[in-house]
Amino acid sequence: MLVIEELKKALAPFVLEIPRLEIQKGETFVLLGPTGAGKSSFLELLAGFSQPDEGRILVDGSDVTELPPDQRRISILFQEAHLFPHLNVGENIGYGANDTTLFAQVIELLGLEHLLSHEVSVLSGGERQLVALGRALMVRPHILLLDEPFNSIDPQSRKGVIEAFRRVHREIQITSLMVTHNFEEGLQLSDQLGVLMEGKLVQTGAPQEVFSTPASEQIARFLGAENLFAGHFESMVDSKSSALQSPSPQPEGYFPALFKTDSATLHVLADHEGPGYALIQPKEITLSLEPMHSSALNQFPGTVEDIIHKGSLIQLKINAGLAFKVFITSQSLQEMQLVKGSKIHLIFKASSVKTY
Amino acid sequence: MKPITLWNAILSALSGICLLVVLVPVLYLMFGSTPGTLWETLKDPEVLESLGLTFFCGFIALLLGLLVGTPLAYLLARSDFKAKQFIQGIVDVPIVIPHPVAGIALLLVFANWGPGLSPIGSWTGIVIAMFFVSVSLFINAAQAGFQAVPREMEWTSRSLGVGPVKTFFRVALPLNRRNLLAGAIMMWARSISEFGSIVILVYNPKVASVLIYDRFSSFGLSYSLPVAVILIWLSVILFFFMRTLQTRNRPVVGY
Amino acid sequence: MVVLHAGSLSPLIQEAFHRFRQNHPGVVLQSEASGSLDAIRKITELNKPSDLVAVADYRLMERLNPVPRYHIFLGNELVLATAKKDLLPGPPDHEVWEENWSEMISSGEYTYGISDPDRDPAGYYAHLAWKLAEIHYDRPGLYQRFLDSFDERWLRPRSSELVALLQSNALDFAFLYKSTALQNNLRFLTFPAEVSLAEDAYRDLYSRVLLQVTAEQPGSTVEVTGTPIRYAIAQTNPDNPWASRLLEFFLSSEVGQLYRELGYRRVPILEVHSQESTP
Repeated sequence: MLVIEELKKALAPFVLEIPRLEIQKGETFVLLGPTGAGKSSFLELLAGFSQPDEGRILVDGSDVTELPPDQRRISILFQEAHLFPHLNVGENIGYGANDTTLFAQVIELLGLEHLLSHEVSVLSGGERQLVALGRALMVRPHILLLDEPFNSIDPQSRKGVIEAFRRVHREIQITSLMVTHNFEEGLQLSDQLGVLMEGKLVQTGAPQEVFSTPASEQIARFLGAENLFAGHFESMVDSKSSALQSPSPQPEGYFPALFKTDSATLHVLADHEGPGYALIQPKEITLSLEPMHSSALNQFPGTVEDIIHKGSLIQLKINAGLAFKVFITSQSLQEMQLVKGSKIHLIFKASSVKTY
Repeated sequence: MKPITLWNAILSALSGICLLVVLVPVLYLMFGSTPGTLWETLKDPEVLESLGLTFFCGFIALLLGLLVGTPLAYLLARSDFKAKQFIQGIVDVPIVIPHPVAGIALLLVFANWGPGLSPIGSWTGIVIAMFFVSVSLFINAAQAGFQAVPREMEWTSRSLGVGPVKTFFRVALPLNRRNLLAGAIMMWARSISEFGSIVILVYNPKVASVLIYDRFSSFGLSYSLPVAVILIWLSVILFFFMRTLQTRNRPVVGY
Repeated sequence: MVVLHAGSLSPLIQEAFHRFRQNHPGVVLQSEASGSLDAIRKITELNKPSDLVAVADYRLMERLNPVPRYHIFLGNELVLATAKKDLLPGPPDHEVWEENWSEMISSGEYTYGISDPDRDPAGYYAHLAWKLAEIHYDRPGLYQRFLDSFDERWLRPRSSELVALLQSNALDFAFLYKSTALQNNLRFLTFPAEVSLAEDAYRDLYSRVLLQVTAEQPGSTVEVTGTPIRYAIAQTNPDNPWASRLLEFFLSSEVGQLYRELGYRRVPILEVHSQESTP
């Protein structure tokens, strides 16, 4: 368990200030923040590569603030895996510890058997991070820090690597703190979420809470997650209707599903059943005064609740069971003669709903 | 075939001139004496002693440089402290000092050491002079090498529970092998070729450069040339040998 | 014009140049100092162009081919010099040294330097003086003791380099010309005339000792006998009228007055033509 108390460090141009942060044992805490918010500096403080001006860091109850990095039982994964080029994969993983049983476990858990004797130069970005993770697990850290670890992995491999991390998290419940600016990763991996802006921890809580009720306009803009809903997925694969209604090719691993919330049900493509999140980007939503005949599976009638002018675009808040945000041009606004209370139809494809 | 542009031609021509200026004198010298004369010269005990002394002292100077220069290079690469610029400057001073001036400076320092202890006129003086003029080359190369290893790599090692000493020997040093070797070659080559400071501090016993100059100024070209030829062949051969050692190391790139 | 000369003449050459330039502005004068044997070899072996050559042993002129007309113009004597005032006391404690210098130095108790006999006459003059000391003080084996105690590290190609070693306190003593000692404010001990190679009157005594030194080519040696230390100067470039003027200047009484001021020994100027035997 990680506890941070009254941590302060002057970073030009602002001061990093964390009055209190607690991460429970085995929990993954994701710290979201824009670039330059102080995320990496924060991790450097925790890991012991720099000293805070004030404050304490406690790992499982012991104060490590004065300890050098090698004595804190805190391991860190960077954006670049920083594998040692003069050692091969197996030697890298075994660098910090000599435990052969654990070695075998870690290798198996991460699926790295076939890579053991390879040179690190031939690995892909995703493989490198897995090796880095294995290397860190070998020393049995009490706390695992991750600094935007998926950033330098190409998009295709990213999913697999994130999945591997989740697998590890399920098997070995390491207390983890990950920083990223990518909210999707935040959604997929976090038990608790925090937002860091200009050195201050401006919001913490369960992921869905933070996303649906950002504490300030600034946070909302950063998170930029419009139309994010929590619910659960049910597969539709054996239902007759699905065969007819998925004209577009499905991405690997995804199947037609229903996303059920308290107030609405959406047609989506999901990769798992059970609880999760659905996100529809405003640009994917078409508005129509009349119901439309379209192949899109999702059509909802709704009421315009608010009209907000944002420069050249107009943001509409529409209640269709779920609260949607949509953008239109002022021209369309005039053409459709929309005012507060207008009835309108929202249309979007199942395939344009992002699911997590 | 790629068309030859005027730009390429100019580049090649200028580069060619540069190479020729360096290469032609070396080649002239390498083939400036007959094998018979060279063999006779090699048998001359004064020559053998001088060559042996030169390479031996160069080697000792190099060992000293490795021992004390590596830590300094590491500190300069990794630490940040107020006096850092100043220390950096000190390291570079020997490079800009004219060699006889260095010799005089060293003479003043060691003049009052009692007999038996004094490096003046003994191989220890040669080592000190060689060290003085060449260690900067090594430190600069080693420092650049340490700096090229991203500090996050050493941090990673620390966060895996490996202390600073072990991290130095297991990560920083091995990853810097190539630069250390290059720096060592440069330092050694510079030591072997030094003349101006050594001739003031230690005239006898004579290192190769002093011997050649002494023979030249007293007896002329015919007496000094064969020694010069031998020395240049030895240097070239040893130099190439060290370079092949260097390229066989694995290249260092951060991953 | 280029003047090759013995290192011990440097102060004289510099001062003479200075005065010559005052009378003849625009003349370019260059001097090259070295051991006298090296100066001769520069001409014979290296074919170095020069206008005048001045050496610390007049007999070296015989090595030039053809042997030019030369003038013996200056004398000197050998002394034991030091920069460490406490080592060589003034009178009357001086006497201890006068009596016993040869034993004290050859015992190796002090560090002492000489110049290289193969390159600089001051070097072989020192050896010859040691041999003369053995005879004069009647101490058989003294010369060998000098040879045994001498440390090669204190050998320098020119006597002027020994001065640097003395001044930096690296060296206790050096066998140098008296002029060098005076010019550098060194304390020195004079030897009896039987040893110091100073007096014409002891010419025969001096000639009783000899030494082998390297000749033109390494490997070949030539015998050098004892002689009073006499410098010679010659014109090596007969075609240059300026060289003649410069030579005349060196032999003039104006420069002659400098000799004693600078610590040399004034001797009657003697002109030697090549075929004549040396006096």
